[in-house]
Amino acid sequence: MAQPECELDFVYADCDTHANEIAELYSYTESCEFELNKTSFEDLCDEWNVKKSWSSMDSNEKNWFVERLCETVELGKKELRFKGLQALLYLAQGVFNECWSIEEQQSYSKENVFRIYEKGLFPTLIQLLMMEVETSLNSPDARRPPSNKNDSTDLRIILNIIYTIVEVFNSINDQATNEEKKLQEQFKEELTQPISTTNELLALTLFQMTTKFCNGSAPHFPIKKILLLLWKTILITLGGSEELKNLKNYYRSRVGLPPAPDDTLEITRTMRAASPPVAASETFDVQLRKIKLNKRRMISKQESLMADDMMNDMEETGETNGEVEQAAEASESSEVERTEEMNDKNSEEKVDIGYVPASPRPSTPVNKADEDAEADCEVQSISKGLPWMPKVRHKDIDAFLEQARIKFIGFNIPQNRTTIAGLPDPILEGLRTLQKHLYISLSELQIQREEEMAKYPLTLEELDTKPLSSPAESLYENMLPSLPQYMIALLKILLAAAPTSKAKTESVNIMCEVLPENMPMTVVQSMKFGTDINRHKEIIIKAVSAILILLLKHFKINNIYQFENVSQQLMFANCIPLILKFFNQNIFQYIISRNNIALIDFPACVIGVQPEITAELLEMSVKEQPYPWRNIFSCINMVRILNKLTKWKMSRIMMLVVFKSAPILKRALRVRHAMFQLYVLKLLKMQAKYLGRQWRKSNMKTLSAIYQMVRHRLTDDWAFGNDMETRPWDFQGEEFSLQANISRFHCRRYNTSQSLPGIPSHLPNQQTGNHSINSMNGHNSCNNPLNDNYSYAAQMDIFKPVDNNYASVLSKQFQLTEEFKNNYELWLQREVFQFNIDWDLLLEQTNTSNM
Amino acid sequence: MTVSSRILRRNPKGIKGIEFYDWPDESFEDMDSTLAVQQLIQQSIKRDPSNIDEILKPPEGQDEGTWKYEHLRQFCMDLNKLAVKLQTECLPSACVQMTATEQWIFLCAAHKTPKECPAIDYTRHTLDGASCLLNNTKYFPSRVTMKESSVSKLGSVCRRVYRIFGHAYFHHRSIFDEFENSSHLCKRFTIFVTKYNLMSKEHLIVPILKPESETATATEESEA
Repeated sequence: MAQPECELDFVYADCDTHANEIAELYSYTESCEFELNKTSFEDLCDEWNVKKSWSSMDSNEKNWFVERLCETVELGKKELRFKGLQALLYLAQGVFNECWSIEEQQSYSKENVFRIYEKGLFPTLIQLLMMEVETSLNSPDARRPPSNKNDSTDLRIILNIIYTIVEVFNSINDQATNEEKKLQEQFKEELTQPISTTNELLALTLFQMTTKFCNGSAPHFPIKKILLLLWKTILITLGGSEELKNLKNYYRSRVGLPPAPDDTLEITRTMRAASPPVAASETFDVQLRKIKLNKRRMISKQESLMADDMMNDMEETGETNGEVEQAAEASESSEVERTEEMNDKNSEEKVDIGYVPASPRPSTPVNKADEDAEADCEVQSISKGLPWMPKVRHKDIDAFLEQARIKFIGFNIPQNRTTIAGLPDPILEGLRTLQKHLYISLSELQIQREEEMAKYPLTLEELDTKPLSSPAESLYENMLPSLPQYMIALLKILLAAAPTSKAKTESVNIMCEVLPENMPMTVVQSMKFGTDINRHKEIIIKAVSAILILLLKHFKINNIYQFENVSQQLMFANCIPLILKFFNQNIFQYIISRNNIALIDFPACVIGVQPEITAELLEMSVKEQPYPWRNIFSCINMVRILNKLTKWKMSRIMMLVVFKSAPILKRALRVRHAMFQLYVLKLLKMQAKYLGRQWRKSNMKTLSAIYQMVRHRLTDDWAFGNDMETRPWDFQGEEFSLQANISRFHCRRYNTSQSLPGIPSHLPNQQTGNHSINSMNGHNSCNNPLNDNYSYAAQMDIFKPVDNNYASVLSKQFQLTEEFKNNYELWLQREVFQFNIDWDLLLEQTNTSNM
Repeated sequence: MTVSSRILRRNPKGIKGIEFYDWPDESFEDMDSTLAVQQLIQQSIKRDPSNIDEILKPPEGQDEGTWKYEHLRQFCMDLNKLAVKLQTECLPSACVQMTATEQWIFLCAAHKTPKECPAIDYTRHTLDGASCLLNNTKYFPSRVTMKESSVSKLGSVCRRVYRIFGHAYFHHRSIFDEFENSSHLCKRFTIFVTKYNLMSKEHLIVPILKPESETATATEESEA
């Protein structure tokens, strides 16, 4: 197993470069089909007496051509229609036969995509896609297991065109012209609304295609293309990381919260990766080597003493440990050179991670007047050493106060954060520090508001009505009826595509669209085919992981319960063991595996002279390339998803412990990339408490890496073995109460009944913008026996209007008691005959509406 | 007492059919309503349906997008009369597909998944779909200005609606001729789409414009 020597050069982004994304759309077995597109195009040119080449046509002539294609794709005869579609695809592929370079192809492709879109072909293409889907589902051989890629040719052509359009629009960045940006805005808007012809969101259509594929009714679907298209649709309609950051701060500002203090992506870009934890045998070698060098002897002695003193001298330990690693590896990376230089200067304060060493522990301020100012400075200086600002939750402050009060006063005042009488000064100082770092998350406020709304349903409204009109909201609303199926489908596909899975045992066969007509015969063909298969799986994993992380992040800022619902569905579908299983392989090997043959990537395979593909050429081209962007992107996404699923949830963290994730995650740390390591370390931090003293003792380097790279929570004793009660009986209850909260949220906002998830809710009127009004209309069919405290208002039927129509009141059946039946004369005398009632006046009044 | 300058555009109760719409013309500048363009077009048509240039001439300073849109609306409304006449002859059993000449068989795009509707169903669905689209406030929120993004929709509507003419001409010639003689609708439509570049001439298969070279164009198209 190769030990990674230097840091991986990877910058996390929403997607790969445009060229790579287009190249990954096509598998190598499809490369023979490019010629067919060109042929169809040329045939149509002959038919329509077009003598010029595309590049020599002027704008009007090109528009005319596209318009004729518009007519052709609406023809009834399938062959003619598909000829038109192939020609259209050829245009979208940039008329590659007339191009001399890849840049030319890209610019033609872009120009043609704009032309196609401006002619209004996009809704037509979606319609044609639906038509193909329907005919292929209704055809008699739909149930027959598909044998090779020819079973999905038609679908693939249409999906290729649509994907190219979406990807071109996705790739328009700030350097584009104003017209292009305007078109992009228009396109985004079109995708965010239901498509005019199908009346549903494109994302939803694709989700449904995915479920059909997974439940076996459509095994011939080209699932990779569907997933890629779904990913890009979600990316372009909801927005990427930049949009997420801005939206989050915008929503926070709308409810009176300050913007989030640090952005993960920005900070991780400047972080340096920690050196991987060295295995025991390797440490021994290292020590032997070190003994030769004088300089290092002192440090090796220090190292052996370090094991028990970690907590006291954390910074120094980390630094010198790191330095030992650097020296041992003897690699040529500039990082090591720099540290060796510093080595000469002073042997004690070595920097491992590359930022300024932590300042010494601040002393207790003496002068009360300057206390606050100095406290501020303390905060600054602490943050200079570590990359993250520490955060504190309200819960932590409450726990701290409770503990202090019980200790010094003897009793606790629950839900009171301000009474500090009787507490000594150091405690107060601690409290002040905690309050300085208080971070209120948007989710906290949303949860609070949900609880309040359940208690006072008639007077309170949504925390913030802006998210209700966002694309994320409309996507969630549309996804809600079948959300569990979509998540299960995505995970099934992820499982089938994981590198550690065997193809035969999987329930879904994702390979069908890659299989060529004739199985590979020669060595070269088999090599190409093997690479193709692996590449296919990697791209699928990339798409699924990106879809999941985008959905989770967007739903979280939209409303916490949407996020909780999706993560619970994922959790119930066994996402956690699935991701752990994925990481239970040589991750570094996976990341650097180069399943790409640049020579036959599109468009290189159709432009210029094609060299003869021999085995040597294949091997050489594989070696020369840098590792592909997609694998580390998928790995980072997966570990982020795992973090999002387990954060703050005891039951799920215990799942991590039970599944023995610690060694798997430790192995993953070998990948030297700051952002990836950060998320892996976060997972380890969550479990560190429960892994036992022995583990903590023997994994000091890991723990110090956690200290240096992960955000510190004040009062968090993650590295100690205190209070290890896990209360396993609570876990189910935790999940169930979360489920109850989620269904209460759905009930309120979408009027669904939780017990029957198959029933689609009648979607509330978007224009009113105030969903709580809908639930007041007396149609509240919400059945929520689980959470009595909070939905008593609903149960008490206060939403139903009082029945004061005399005819209906009088017609109600009423059981008379025995006692009454025996004594009714007395009752009559007392209640009826004594009083004179003016019936006419009474009946007159009930006729009007102001009763 | 009505002021003489104010024209009441109403069909009063009890009016006879032939007296319908019999109000005096009004100049465009005097029209004070958001539907002024529609009024103008209908007025010009009523005055003389064969004077196509006059009907298609936009008033000074008129926004071209809105002009095209209003005309398209008017075409859809006028085509209803042809559709009604076609109903008697164009039965689903007779014309099973929407076709003009041999190779031009079309799918009906008014459904979620396009279908091969019989000709009369195609006609009905397309006209319904066109009116839904043109009345859709999402794409056409105003009768006096036009959203740039919606202009492309006009082209696709024109193409689909034109096929009705094509089918009527080639399969229900007598009805077509009778209708065309009174309304000149196909000619007006052809000149309209040519003038505003909404369709390419290869798709204008009804030889309406140049009767002398009628045979020439017909043979050219059948080779295509």
